[in-house]
Amino acid sequence: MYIVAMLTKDLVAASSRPLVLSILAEGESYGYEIIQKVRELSGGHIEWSDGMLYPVLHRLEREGLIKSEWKEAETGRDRKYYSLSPAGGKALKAERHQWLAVHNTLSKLWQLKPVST
Amino acid sequence: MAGGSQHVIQIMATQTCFDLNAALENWRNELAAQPQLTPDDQRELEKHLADVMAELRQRGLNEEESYWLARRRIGQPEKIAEEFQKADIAGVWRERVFWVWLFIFLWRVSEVIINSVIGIAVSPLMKLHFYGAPEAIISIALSMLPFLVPLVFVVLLARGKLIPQLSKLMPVIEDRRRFVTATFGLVLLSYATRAIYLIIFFESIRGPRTQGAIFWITNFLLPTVSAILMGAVLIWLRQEPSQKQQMERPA
Repeated sequence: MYIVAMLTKDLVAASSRPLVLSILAEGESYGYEIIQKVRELSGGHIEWSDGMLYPVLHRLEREGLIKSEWKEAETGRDRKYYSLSPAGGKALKAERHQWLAVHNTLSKLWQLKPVST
Repeated sequence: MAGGSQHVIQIMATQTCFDLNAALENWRNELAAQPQLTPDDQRELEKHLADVMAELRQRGLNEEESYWLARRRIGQPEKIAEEFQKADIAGVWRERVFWVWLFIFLWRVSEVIINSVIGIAVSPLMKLHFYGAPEAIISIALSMLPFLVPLVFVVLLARGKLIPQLSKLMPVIEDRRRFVTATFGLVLLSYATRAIYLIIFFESIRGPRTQGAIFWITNFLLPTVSAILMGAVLIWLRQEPSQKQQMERPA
């Protein structure tokens, strides 16, 4: 039986970049939706403080990895939508490679089945 | 028992007194008090608060509960501002460099203006060959002004004396057009004063023909070009505030 614990602060911070890029690779999204998706996909194990996501998004935008645009949603409420830029797509590939390398190494050490990169 | 019923009454009083608009206004003010957050950041956080509140209302929480819980989920404005600052180290340094450069620029132009005005004031005395030791001492003392003025300014600023006066200058810095006009206006004023000084002072003591092209290049043209470049760098360093968009209240 596994004891599932919340991720440490450092790991949450380190994983925020590939998580945001991966979510935006599926299509444009906004802050609240990104947080909801992470919460849902991680089964609640990755808990982001809502206000802390925006500095991450803004840093990625400054790095040219994502783009933002204020748009009106279907609900009539306007929101700042983020989308992946071509540079962001490349950065995501690199991130994926690195994280899977770590995952595969740990999987071998812990005798789990590796995931192909 | 009496204490318990009093507690219930207090809760009811709080519930009936809760004013969402006032609470949101307070929250906006708390965000606006964080200089690291641009109006665009504030607007985005406010939209987020609205989304979280809508989710919590759907779960059955009342207006007040959903407001306070949404606020808690977003985090303390001070903490958020700290995170924004950490995420934009380059921006923080750029702002610091801007203020240092602004000071150097103002020092430079004020030095040129003060020296030129002193030179213009002293030149009639020199023309009349009425420039003895007392005048020379006064002239030397006056030449210290370009150093003393910024020195006094820095000391006063460090002691928090000039903050209200400087706050009045902020609209000039925030408005790009006014800032560009003020910057190049100062360059124009300082070097126009210098040109007058050079013409009056040197022509009065040496005659008009002694000032050749090299003299004007080294004493006027190059310092003017350097001041224009300093002004251009200053304008470049000035961070463009995010588009000031009117913050809307969450539906």
